[in-house]
Amino acid sequence: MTFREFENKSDEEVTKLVLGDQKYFTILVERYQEKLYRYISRISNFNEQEKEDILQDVFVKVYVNLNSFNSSLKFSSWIYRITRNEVINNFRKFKRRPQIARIDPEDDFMSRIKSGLDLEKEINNKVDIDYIKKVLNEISDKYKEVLVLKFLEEKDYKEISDILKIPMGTVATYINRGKKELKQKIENYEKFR
Amino acid sequence: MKNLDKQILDKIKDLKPKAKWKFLVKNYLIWSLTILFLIFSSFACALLLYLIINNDWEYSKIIAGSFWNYWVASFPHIWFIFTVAFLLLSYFNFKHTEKGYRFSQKRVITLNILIIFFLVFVFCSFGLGNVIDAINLDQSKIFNQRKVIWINPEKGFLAGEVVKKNENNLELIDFEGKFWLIDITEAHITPYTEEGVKILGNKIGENTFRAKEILPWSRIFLFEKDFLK
Repeated sequence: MTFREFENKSDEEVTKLVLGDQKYFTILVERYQEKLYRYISRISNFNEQEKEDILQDVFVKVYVNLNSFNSSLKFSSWIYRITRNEVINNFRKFKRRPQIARIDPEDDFMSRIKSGLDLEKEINNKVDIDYIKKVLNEISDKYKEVLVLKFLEEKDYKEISDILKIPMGTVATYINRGKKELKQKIENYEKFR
Repeated sequence: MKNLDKQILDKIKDLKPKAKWKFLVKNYLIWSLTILFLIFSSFACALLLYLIINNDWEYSKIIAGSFWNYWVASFPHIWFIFTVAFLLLSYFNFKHTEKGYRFSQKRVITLNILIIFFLVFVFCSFGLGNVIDAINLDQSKIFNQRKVIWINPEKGFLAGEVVKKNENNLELIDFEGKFWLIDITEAHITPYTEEGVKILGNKIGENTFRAKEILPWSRIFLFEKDFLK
């Protein structure tokens, strides 16, 4: 079955179709499985099998709770929220902590974080991705979460607010504090290198 | 990562989305509890204000030695705790409404407090007196410290209902049901209603008390209907 004809339909429109016929759920799975898999990889260090299990559970929850989706939210914010909650449930189950485990070189993350943190001077090419990953893992979990959504998932403030269920003002505060903490750690690195 | 389409569709094959009404009921329930707790908090706050305003501040030094000691002894802790507890319950319920997370803690609490004050005003204007009567607040030991203070004849404080009066004596049943004969020959008497009196004086016998000052038990509450007219 191909769903080319539905390519132009928004997620919100597809959810309405899914409520009428389960087969349309494939469209949502196709659209989100890679993004969500990458997001899970970024915020956790579960192995591949665990990540796939989490992802499957996420889609089952999305399907079962489809009627609770509120159109005042973006569908992507809603599905990211469910994914995050599922990851947290699994952290509890396996007694693990949030950890940034993956930053892809092709993410263009370095340039985003350089401009986002006003660190053009501080971050030269010698500060590698592995180091940024290490530093990101050293900052507080709450700041780490918003920085991942902002710089890796490229979400705006409203989306981050809806995903994490915190006010937009708090998102802004966490981003500022997280950036400050990250900047300080990178500057220290440069000093003592 | 492998393509999970098939596995996911297999998993949901026999499932159905939960009915919309279940989510609506949950939302309505959370909203109802938010509002209910806010009303409870306002009620408790209204009673708290009533008790603070109607406290016998002018006798604080006689009763407790100092204003501060009297404040500590007579502060209606239980209503303060109810006010705060219901306010917090209302806040946490609101935070669990669909869009509750979008509002900052400061904004929600400020709004809640403003609503509480508005409701306090409404309650006090229309029928707080009935509530006070219904829960027998003025006579309740648990909900009102005042009674503990005023049923203390050894220290010179007595309160209760007047059952009979003549030129020299009052017959009084205190709020714990004990009969007293009050000598009022030297007493200064402020006009009182049938609700009761409080008496400052000395215990002179097992059932006898000499009054120096006789005052009405209840007072007018600032926000009460008559005040608004």
